[in-house]
Amino acid sequence: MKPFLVLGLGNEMLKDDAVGIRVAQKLEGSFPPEVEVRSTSSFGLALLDELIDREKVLVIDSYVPEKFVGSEIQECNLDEVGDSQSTSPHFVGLGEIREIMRKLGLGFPSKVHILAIPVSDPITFSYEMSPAVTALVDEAAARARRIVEAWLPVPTG
Amino acid sequence: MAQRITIDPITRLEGHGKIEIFLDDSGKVSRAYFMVPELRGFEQFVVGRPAEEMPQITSRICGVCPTAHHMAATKALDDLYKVDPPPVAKKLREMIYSIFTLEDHALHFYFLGGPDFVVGPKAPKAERNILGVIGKVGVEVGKRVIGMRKELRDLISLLGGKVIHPVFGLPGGVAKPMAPPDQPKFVEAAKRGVDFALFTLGVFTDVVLKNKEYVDAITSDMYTHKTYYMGLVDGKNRVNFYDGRVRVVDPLGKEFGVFTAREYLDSIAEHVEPWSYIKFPYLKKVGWKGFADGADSGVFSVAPLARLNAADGMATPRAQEAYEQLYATLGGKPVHHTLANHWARVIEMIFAAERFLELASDPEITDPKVRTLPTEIPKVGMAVVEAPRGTLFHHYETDEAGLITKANLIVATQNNAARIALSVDKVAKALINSATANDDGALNMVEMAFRAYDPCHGCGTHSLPGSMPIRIQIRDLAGNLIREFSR
Repeated sequence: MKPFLVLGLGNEMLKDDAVGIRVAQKLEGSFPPEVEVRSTSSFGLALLDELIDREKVLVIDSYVPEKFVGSEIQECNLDEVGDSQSTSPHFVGLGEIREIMRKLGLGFPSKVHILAIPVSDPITFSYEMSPAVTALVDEAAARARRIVEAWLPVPTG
Repeated sequence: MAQRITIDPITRLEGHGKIEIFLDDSGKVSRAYFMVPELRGFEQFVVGRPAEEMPQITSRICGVCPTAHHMAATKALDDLYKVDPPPVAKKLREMIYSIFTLEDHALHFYFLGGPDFVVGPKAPKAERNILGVIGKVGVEVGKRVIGMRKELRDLISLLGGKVIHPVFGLPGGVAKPMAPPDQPKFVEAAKRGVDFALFTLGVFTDVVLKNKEYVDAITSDMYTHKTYYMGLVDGKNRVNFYDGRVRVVDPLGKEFGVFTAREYLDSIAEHVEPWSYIKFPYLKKVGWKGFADGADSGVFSVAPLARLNAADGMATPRAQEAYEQLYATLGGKPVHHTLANHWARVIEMIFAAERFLELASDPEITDPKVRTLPTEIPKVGMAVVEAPRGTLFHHYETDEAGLITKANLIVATQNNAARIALSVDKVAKALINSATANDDGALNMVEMAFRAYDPCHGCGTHSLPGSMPIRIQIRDLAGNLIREFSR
């Protein structure tokens, strides 16, 4: 299991909801071997499987702002988000997964960073993202690279 | 004052749903509606796409039961191309499907239904969740559930590609055989699966059946409807998840009809209501008589209890023992108590695990001939499987190039929708009034009425949920907000 994980979330069939996956695809091959880049449409408790035995994880996902125009890519650490209390295992948040993993002694990553990309339409069946969301992919990928590179040891010699 | 209570979306339920409870001027429930507020037009989306993509596309409809759609679509392609898979391909498909059902049922029992029974229907809402269940059953059991689930999902990945996006089924077979060195892994995992399922039956017996309050709730009139039941059966009328004929029994348990996937349109019609996007299937030969139970109403039920009611037994020994115990305890067949679905689900876990073990141990399971290549020109394909949540139909029509011209899916939650609506209305009328409208425990017991069916609205409306905020609103009939709180 590689210690560092970049995890793109979303659904490629649901228009803008694909953006997390698209950014992850853009990042494939960008990092040294200790970094794994993955994409998944899993959600809720299924994300627990992705986090087990990882040291640091960058989650790339979409969010729906109140107004799409003018909204920006957001970053935060999971520690800033706090614990949410969902009542469905399919919709549990990362905060609850952290609590479950700690309660069961499964070793939650020391750092989970979240990169959230604003989207306007994540509910229409389409393989094509909105042009405005497509335009954010490069910027999101660049920010993801900076975040992950800061985790890596500085090369010597 | 007349009031409207809204539970929106419903807790611990897949996809968006809503319950609205209308109180009359005397404070009693006049009608409770079970509503699905979204529609996304999935069938239109697939028109023009190659039929071979359907197992991948439909498995993305919802992340909750991708394998059920994948398998229904794969079988529909067999029918579309008129190709019969080799025996080992059918066995591998059924084995993967048994693994999936075992894992899915376990998740529901411990973490969706679990909070209702393991933690308690009237426990504080902050405890009615996964963490509350772990708190009750203990960390070691929690680890066992999580570990078993992971092991089963890893096995699906080993043979079928990604769990969430299986790339396993092909028209006429499957993508790859089981490598002989892998067979022992499957056999050993299946043995652990049987132990785990039997352990779960023990948990159910200790926690639920030994608690008089819970047994009384299961058998209470407010959670009871005498409807028709539908389920897939094998040649001996025993429960089968993967293949067979669809059998329907009447409210007395007598066989009403048997049909193949190709005949589903002769047996099932759909009723539309203005207040819900979900269509309500009913038995065509009985007819739509409104939201009513009894032999004169075409309302039927699917899912674990319906499958057991529609069958004459289980095809594996330990599951058969548990099946007999259920009917001996609850007064014989059919059982009409909605909450008995939880018990039936555990029995199906045992069957899924035992069937998994049978298939994994089969000497032919590593046979490399896993595909018959299709040669016929496609036109129409129909198939049926039993999803964990009930009977699932896929129906495709194509042009000669195999491009989809029409698709129709009737998913499990749709098949159960009318009976779920009945359940919600009945429990609401029994428990809710102006004095209990703010009682979280009473509202949760209304939700228990539909949670037992394990419904999935992302699937039922062919839409996908993004998040699951919980909100209850109480309004008067003019729409004025009286109270709002989160669940």
